[in-house]
Amino acid sequence: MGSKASILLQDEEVSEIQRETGFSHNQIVRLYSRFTSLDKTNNGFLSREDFLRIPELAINPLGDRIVHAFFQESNDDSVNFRQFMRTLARFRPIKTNRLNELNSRDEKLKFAFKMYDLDGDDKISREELLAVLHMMVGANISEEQLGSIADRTIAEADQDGDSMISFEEFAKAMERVDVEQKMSIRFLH
Amino acid sequence: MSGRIPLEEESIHLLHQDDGYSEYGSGNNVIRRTSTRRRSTVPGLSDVDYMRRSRYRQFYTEARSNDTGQLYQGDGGRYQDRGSVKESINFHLHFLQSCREQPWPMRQKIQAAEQAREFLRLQTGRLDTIDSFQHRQLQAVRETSRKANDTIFSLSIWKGKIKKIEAYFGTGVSSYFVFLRTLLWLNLVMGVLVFCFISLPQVLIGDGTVLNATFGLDFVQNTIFFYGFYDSSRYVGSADYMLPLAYFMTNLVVILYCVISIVMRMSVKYKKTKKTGTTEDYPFSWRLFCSWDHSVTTREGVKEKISAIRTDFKVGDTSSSTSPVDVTTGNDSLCCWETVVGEEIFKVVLLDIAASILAVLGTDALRACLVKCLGLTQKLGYGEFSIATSVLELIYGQGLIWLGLYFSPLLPLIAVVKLVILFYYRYYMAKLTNVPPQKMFRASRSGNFYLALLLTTLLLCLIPVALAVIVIPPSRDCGPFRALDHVYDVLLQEIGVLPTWLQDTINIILSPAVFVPVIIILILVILYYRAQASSYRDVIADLRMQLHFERSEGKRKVFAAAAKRGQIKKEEKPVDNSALVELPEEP
Repeated sequence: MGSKASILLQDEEVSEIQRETGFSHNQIVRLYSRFTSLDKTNNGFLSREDFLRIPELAINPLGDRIVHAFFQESNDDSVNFRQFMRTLARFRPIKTNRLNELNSRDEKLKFAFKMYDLDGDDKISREELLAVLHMMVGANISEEQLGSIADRTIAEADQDGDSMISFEEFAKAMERVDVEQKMSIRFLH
Repeated sequence: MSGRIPLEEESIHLLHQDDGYSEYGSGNNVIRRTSTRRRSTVPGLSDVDYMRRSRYRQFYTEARSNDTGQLYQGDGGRYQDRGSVKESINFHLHFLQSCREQPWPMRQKIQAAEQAREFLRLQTGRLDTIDSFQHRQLQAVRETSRKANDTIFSLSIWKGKIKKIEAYFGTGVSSYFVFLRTLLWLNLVMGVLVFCFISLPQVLIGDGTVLNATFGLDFVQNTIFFYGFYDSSRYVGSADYMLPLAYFMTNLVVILYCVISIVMRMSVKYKKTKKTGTTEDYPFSWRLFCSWDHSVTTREGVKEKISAIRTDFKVGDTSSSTSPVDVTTGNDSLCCWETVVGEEIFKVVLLDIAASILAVLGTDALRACLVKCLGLTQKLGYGEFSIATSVLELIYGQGLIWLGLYFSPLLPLIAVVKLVILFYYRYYMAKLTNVPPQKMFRASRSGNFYLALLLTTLLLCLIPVALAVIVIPPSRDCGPFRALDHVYDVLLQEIGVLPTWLQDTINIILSPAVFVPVIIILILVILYYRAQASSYRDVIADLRMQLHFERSEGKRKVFAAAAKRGQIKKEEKPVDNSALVELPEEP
C-alpha cells in the first residue's frame, strides 16, 4: 500500500508545534496518536468524513459547523497534523503566566464566529443565522418564528447598519460571556 | 540521531516463534515479546482477571536497536530515555504498516500486528510515568467522590428528572421542583438536628419506656412526636443530659439555621442574577450563540437540550400573582395544651398532604381523563401545571411545620417524607396530564421570590410560637418545662451558674438602659443601608436607560447616514464628499 507522506513524528516537528501552540510534549504525542487513529486512510490528512465519524461530533447538531471551522484553517478539504494542532490550540485554557497566542479570547471568539459564518465572508447574514437555528432547534418552530428570532438577533448585535453581524459586532455581543471558560478544554498532560 | 528508520528499505523478519514467545526484527531493531500470563496471587481474583488487571504492568517488550546498541524495555512505562521511546514507537508504526506485506502465515501476522498495536497504544498514551490502571482508578474515585459531594452539599439529587421537566415544561415549572428540593434539604437538616438532640436522648436515657416511643395508635402525649413525652428533670437519666435545655436550644438553633440558610441562598441567587442579569443586554444573541451544550453526548441528552432551547426561545413575560398567606394559630388552656396544639397541627399537616394529592387528582388528572376519553383535545385540552398554586402550597406546608416544630419536634421528618412523595407524585402527574405552559416566564428571579416568601412565612410563624414560649406558662402536667414558671427560665437556670463577672456583664447587657439604645442604633443602621440601596438602584436604572438610549440613538444616526448615502448614489449625483463625510450634528 505504500506510505507517501511522513507519518512519523519527528523531534523538530514536535518542538515547532510546541512553540507555535504551547502544548506540552506529552500532549502533542498524545494528540498525534489520536490524529493517526482518526486518519483511516493513513495518508497524514484528515477529511471531513474522518471528523464526522467521531460519534460525539456526529450526534451534535452543530457538529458540522465545528468541523467547518476546523477546515477554515487549511482552506482545503483536508487537515494535516500541524493545522489540526493549530486549531486545537485555540481551546487551551488561558493561563496568565504562559504565552497565549493562539488561545487568546479573540482567537476563541474567531473560532466561534467561523462556526456561524458559513460562506466565510467574515459576516454572519440572516440566512446563516436561520441555518444555524434550523440545526439547533429543528422542527416544531414555524419559519416566521425562526425568522423573527434571526431578525431580532441581528437587530441586537448589528451596529453599523448593514444587517449582518461582523466579527467586531459579534465580539461586542459576547462581551459579558465567559468565553475563556466556556471555550477551553483541559487537555490531559 | 533522529531515530527514524528508512521506510522503504527495511523488511521485517519473524525471527522466532514459540509458545508465549515471539521475536520479530529487522536490521536495526528486534521486538521480543514474552508471555504475560501470570498466576494470580490475589485471592478471589481469577487468573484472567489478574492478567487483564496487570496487563499494564506486566506487558513486557524488549526492543534493541542495533544502531545505537540501546536496549529498551517496556515495563509499566518506565523508560529511561525518551529518544529511545520515540525510536521504538516509530519502529512499531513502521512495523504495522508493512507487516501486511510480509510473507508470514496469517495467524502470525495478526498476532504481530496486535502486539505492535498494543505497544503503541501503551506508549503513545503513557509517555509519562503514571500507571494507566492506577490513573484510571484514581479518576474513577475522584468522579464518585465528586458526585457524592455534589449530592450531599449542593443538593443534586433528582437532577436528571428536573432537567427533563425543564426541557419539556420550561424553567417556570422546574423552579417548583427545585424549590421543593430546597425545602427537602431544609427539613432534613431540621429533622436530623431535632432527632439527635431531643428525641434520641429521650428515647435512650429517658424515663419513659421504649415501647411508647414509636407512633402510638392514639394521639396521646406518650409518643416522641409530641411535647408531652419529654422529661422535665434538669438532668435526665444516668448520662445527666440536660433535656429541657436541649429542647429549648435545639429549637432555637433550628430556627436560626432556617433563617440563615434561606437568607444565604437568597443572597447567592441574588448575586448570580446580578452578574448574569445583564443577559438583558443581548438576550437573543446569547440564546442563539451560547445555548448549545457541547458536552452533551447522548441521543437523549441531545433531544432534551434541543427541546429546552426551543422552549427557551418562546419568550414571554408573566408575573406570578401573589396571594396572602393565611396563618392561623390555635391556643388551648387545657392541661398539656402544648401536646394538644401539636396534635392539631399534626392533623393539619396530614390533611395538607392529602389535599395536595387529591387536588391534583381532582383537577389535572380528571381533566386529562375527560379529554382523552371524550376526545375533547380541541375543545378543552389538557391543563397546564399551575406553578403559583403549587409553590404556595409548599410554602403553606412549610409554615405549618414551623408552627408546629416546638409542639411536635419531629414534624420536619414528616415533612421530608411528604416532600419525597410529593416530588415523584407531581413529576409523574405532570408528565401524564400536563402540557407545557403557553406563556413562558423567566424563572431566574422567581427562585428568589419564593425564598423571600418562605422567609416571611418563617418570621410570621415564629410570632405565635414566641408568644407561646414567652407569655403562656408551660403546662404543669407534661413536657420538659413543667417544673418551670416560664420556658425561658431554663436558660436563667444555667445563667445562675455562671461566674459573677459574666453574670454581671449579662445583667448589664440585658438591662433596658443598654439594649434599648442598641436596638435603636441597629434600626438606624438598617434604615441607612436601605436608603443607600434604593439610591443605587435608581442610579443603575438611570445608567441602563442611558446606555440603551445611546445605543439606539447611535444606530439611528448610522442608519440615517447609510440611507442618505444610498439616496445620493441612486440619484447619480456627482460625488459630493461633504455629504458622505458629514454626519448629523450631535445635539
